[in-house]
Amino acid sequence: MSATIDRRRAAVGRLDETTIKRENENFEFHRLLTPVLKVPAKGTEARRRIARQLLLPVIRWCKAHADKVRYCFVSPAGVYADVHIFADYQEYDEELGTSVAGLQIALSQAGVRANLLLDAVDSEYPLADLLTGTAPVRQVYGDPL
Amino acid sequence: MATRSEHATKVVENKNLLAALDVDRWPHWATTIVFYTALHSLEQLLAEAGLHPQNHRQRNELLTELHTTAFCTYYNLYMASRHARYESSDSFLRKFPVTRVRNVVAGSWLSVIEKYVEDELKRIDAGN
Repeated sequence: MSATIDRRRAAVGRLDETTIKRENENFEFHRLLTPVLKVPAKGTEARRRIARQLLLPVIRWCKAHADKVRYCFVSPAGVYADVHIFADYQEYDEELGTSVAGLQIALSQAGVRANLLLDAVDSEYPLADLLTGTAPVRQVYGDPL
Repeated sequence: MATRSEHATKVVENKNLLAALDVDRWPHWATTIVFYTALHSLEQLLAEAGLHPQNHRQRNELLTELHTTAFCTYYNLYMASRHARYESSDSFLRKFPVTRVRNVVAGSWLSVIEKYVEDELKRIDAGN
């Protein structure tokens, strides 16, 4: 009985540690994204607006283009959020590019400084650069890499 | 900080270089030149408004706020130039075959930007 309790306590301990680490990473990620808001905000209000004005619209757009979009990453870059979209195309997809541009306009009008980049999944450098770079980056759409 | 006329000079220089370039042989360089032609075309409008962006992020932000009509085409040119600059010739050519560079990138896309800028500058000059 005691051993079972100890195992449960250990499991809870590990879960807590993981949760705390994830929460800290979330907090840090949102803190780094705070400057992208054109109208400044702090704390919970900033987190709420980053979610509502940046992350949710980007994820919704990705889902609406799920037939073409494979991955999407967000990376804070000073007062900008770099949004890296990777899609399946052989020849450059003008229609998709135009839609990405529309999303960038919509984000700007919603009060977010974002810089959207569209690349093919098989592009030679961008995805590898993104995943091996030193800048903080969060995958927000697609199968986890 | 460059003035409207200095950006206009850059546009002419880029177009002269593009005219002298063998696009079939150097489609990636042609794409890069077309992109910077479009960039300096639009920079004329920004300079007229006293705006002098220092990098692509700043410029794109201003264009999404002030010149949304041109931004979608400019964005496609920006992405084309990234493919041209950062990828091998083979990889670039898969995304932008030579005929597409000649007819679309250096053709219709650049024309859209030039027409937009021409109309905006006329409107600005008429108001002065």
